[in-house]
Amino acid sequence: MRRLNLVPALLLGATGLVAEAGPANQIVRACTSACRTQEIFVPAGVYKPFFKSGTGTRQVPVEPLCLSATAVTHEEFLGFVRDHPDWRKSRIKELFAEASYLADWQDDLTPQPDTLSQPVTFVSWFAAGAYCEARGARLPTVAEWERIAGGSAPPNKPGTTSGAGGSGTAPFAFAMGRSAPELANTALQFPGVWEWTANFNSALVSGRIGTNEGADASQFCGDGIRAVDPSNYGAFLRYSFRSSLRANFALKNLGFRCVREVS
Amino acid sequence: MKHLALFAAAALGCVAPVHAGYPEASTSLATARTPPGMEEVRGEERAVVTSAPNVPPPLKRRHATKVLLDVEVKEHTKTLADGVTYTYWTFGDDAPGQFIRVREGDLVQTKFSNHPDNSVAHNIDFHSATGPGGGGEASFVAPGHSATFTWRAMRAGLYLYHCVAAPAGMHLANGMYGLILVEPKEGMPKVDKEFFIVQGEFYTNGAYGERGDQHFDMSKAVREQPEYVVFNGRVGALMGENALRMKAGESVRLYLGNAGPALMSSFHIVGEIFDDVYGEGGTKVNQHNVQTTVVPVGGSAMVDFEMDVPVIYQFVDHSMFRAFNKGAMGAIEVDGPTRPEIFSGRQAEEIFNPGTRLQRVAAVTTFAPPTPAAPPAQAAASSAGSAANEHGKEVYNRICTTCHQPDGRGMAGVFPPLAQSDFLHDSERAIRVLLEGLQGPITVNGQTFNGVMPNFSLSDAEIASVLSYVRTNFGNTGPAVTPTEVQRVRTLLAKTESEAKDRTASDRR
Repeated sequence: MRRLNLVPALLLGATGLVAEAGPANQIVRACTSACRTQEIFVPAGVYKPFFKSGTGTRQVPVEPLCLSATAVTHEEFLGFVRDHPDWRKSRIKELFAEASYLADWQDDLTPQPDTLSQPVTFVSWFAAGAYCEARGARLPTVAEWERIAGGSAPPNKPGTTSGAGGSGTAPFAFAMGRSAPELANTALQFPGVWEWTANFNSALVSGRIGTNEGADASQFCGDGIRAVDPSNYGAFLRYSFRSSLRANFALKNLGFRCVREVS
Repeated sequence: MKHLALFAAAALGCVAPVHAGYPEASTSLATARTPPGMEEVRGEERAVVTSAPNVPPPLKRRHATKVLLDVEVKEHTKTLADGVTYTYWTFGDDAPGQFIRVREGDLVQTKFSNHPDNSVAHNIDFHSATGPGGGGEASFVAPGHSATFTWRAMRAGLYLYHCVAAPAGMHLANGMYGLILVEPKEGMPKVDKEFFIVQGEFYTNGAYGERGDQHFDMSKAVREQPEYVVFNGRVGALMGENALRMKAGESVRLYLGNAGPALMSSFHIVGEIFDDVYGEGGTKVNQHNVQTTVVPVGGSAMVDFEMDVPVIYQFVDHSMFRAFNKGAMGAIEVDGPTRPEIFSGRQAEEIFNPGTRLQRVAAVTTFAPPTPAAPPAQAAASSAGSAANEHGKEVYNRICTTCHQPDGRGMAGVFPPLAQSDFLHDSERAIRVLLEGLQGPITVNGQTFNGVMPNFSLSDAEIASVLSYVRTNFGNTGPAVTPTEVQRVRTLLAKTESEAKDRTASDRR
């Protein structure tokens, strides 16, 4: 796992911060400044898994992160395939992406001109991961993504996304990302596409295989019993969607964003 | 053996994700030799399917075959009620999906496709299939993908199919269901006409009838309090022009399903008795002469009957507020000669007065003389324009058509006509009926009616619109009605009410 070993003291010096605030606050500010433009600093937090484990509700600590403010755009992805010809649609290995990879691009280097600033979709998990790696980053884990964008209970009127983030128009656009409360006043955006996560298939592989609540538990009826909050249908939609994926899939409404570790 | 198969499927499903594509099944049902005790499968053919409410003709085949079935999922906005739209998730174009007819012993090779424009993962669970999830696991695919699996129709009967992807209740509540008939080897007893009806619920964020685009409301779904309970996917799918039609004396079979996801259905045809009921959709007639049959959620029933008397029959979920207030109503129009030896119609009517005072009824039926409306209001009303007329039409289609019928002609002897109705000349009386409801005998166009019309708790604007619509359509010539006029009558009634209370109180003293 790639880590950026940033030293808070150096950063403090570099950004001219003085030691008037408390140490914790200094670190936060230092870390904030460690994020690039177009990135948002996400302080350490806790992810409460949607599915209970054997012992009941768990809490998973999540490290601080620099998070892309929005999903990777066609334009950004074009830059990536320019530099990395192996990921162009004519050259990508079948193992890494199915036939619909970049289906809406005219050719290797020509996305639709009017979509340049919109999220790139029809990208496989392999391609998304390679993009992030080339940027010194990686895909967020399910825990990280859910802690940042899992929002809370669905809004009263799905389709009207309240607060920061959320600009999609699907009736359940909120399921595609709603800012955690502490990120509500940031530039975080959810442009109305599903997003790849590093371990998208983990809800499956952590299931108890070989019993009736194994593989299908996260997809079908059995899930309600294991869910921490069975009325959170946004989460059900996400977990269901993720469990339908294979890493070579390239779908019309599936994009991605990257994260970088701060500590 | 069953456990082993489950384990294998589960293991493949879980370990495979990082590899390209789906794991191929090592053996195919379709190419396997006929197992002992099973009928030989000969040839192959495309599945016979039809859109609601039609049922494919009986299969003439005397042998089992391989049936090729394509099912495609779409997510699209459709009309749920007049002025109300909803983003349906459907098998094929509609909720319910198409009716599928196969024969006991058939191998059904199902290609399940999730359209690339769809937003979520879907699958299909055939209650008629024996195996993991009825196909739920085998068919579970992301948008832009399809999966093929084959199952053997081991048991004859009428079965529901539906999507079971998480959250399963939401997929059902969005319209993902249909019916499949597995005909017994010897076929079903022959009837003249067959139709299918599936009951389903919609949990919209807005209340019943609230206009515009509506969305799924999870909290109402969890409380099991739908805004809509409908037959064949929307309000009025089987009313008016869409009513089922048959001739008197024809034998009929209805294939009934209930997708729920919450409410059991008590299926009833007003004025008809089922001759035979195949309880819970099994192959045996387990009762004769049934007034109302239960259609369980996630289940089915088949009913056979013959219509003797020609009239428009309403059918309902007899949990009656679902019928009158949530949409669970349809109609069967029966054509043919009258049968006075079976039903006479009204033979006599006289005044009944046992001498008790029925204040409330009197208040409604003894109308005050009409108060001439102020000329400016009339002028405003006549220029109200087509927007109000549209709104009035929506209210009419949502609430009034059930009894007064889409053409406003009502039903002889039961529901008074609104078409060319002399009763409507008095606008204040009409407003009072809508505000308070109406009970007891009235005379319309020389015919006497003695029924009950409930008060539908409409707003002033709704009453004005619907009355204007009725009074300026159906051959009526009355002027439109303004909300101000309705408000005036409402205030007047409230005053009369409180005075009546005072009188009662002083009587007691």
